[in-house]
Amino acid sequence: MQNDKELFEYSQLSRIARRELFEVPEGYYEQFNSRLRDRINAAAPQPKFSLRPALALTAVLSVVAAIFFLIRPVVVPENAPEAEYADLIESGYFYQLDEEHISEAYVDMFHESPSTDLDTYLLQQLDEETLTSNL
Amino acid sequence: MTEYSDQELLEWFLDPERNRDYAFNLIVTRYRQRLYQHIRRMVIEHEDADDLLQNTFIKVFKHLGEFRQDSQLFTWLYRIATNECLSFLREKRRRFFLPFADVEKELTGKLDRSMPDANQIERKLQEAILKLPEKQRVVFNLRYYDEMPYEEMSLVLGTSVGALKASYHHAAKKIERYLTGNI
Repeated sequence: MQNDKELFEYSQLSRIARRELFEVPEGYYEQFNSRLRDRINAAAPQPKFSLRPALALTAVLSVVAAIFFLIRPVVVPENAPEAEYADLIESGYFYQLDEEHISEAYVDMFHESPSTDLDTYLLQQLDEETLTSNL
Repeated sequence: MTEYSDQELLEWFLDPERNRDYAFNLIVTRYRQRLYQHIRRMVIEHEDADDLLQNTFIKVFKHLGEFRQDSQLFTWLYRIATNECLSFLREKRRRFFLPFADVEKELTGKLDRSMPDANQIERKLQEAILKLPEKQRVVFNLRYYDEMPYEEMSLVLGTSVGALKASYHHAAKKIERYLTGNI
């Protein structure tokens, strides 16, 4: 053998027979290829549909939409008609208000602008309870 | 069965018209035993050797298309297997904060179970080999058991032939001292 000459000077080492000492389970080599094939197949990337990008895009769009609606300025068209009392009564919305709301609104109005003729008249002639019950 | 050369198997593997799995299977069958023994001598335990051998062939399968063929297929396979072993041992030390001596002790402790048929002198030889630094152990095993020419070892380990010869003789001297009981 090629390296027998090299080992000549090592008396102990050259006396030992070279053989494979490690015990290998029976059938190990025969089964190795199929086990390896299974691992290679398992490691191969599988093409699959992922919901993650779609969900991420939906979330981003939702956030953008929410921010847009929160910060956008409320624009009232210049030629928008002002609502008259008659319009309000006609619209039916008036009947959806309860007495308490009207009373509170009126009291607020009084504190803000107490000098109108109607206010003065009403306050002189009626107390709040009468006014509320009549409304 | 027709005996294909490594070069033919490689061309077969790279040919999209042909069944590359079959070519790969033939390569595995040709080298599995030699590589297993090489790995087993380094890590001693069968389960570790089996795992590393599979990792070696998985890497081969993935990168065979990039193999530049400036060395033999067999040399390239040994290089991958050797790197797997050295990484495994390095990782073992790092994970458990073990110095070299403790890893060697752990591997020596597994010898009896791993080679039940070995006689006393054979067991002592394995103990002596396990006392070598890892790279020197690779050099010794490749030369002593696989009888690999220094030129090929140089390609496997990326070390000069002169350095490998010196390393082998240092290793053999240490082992001889251990066997004669002078260590």
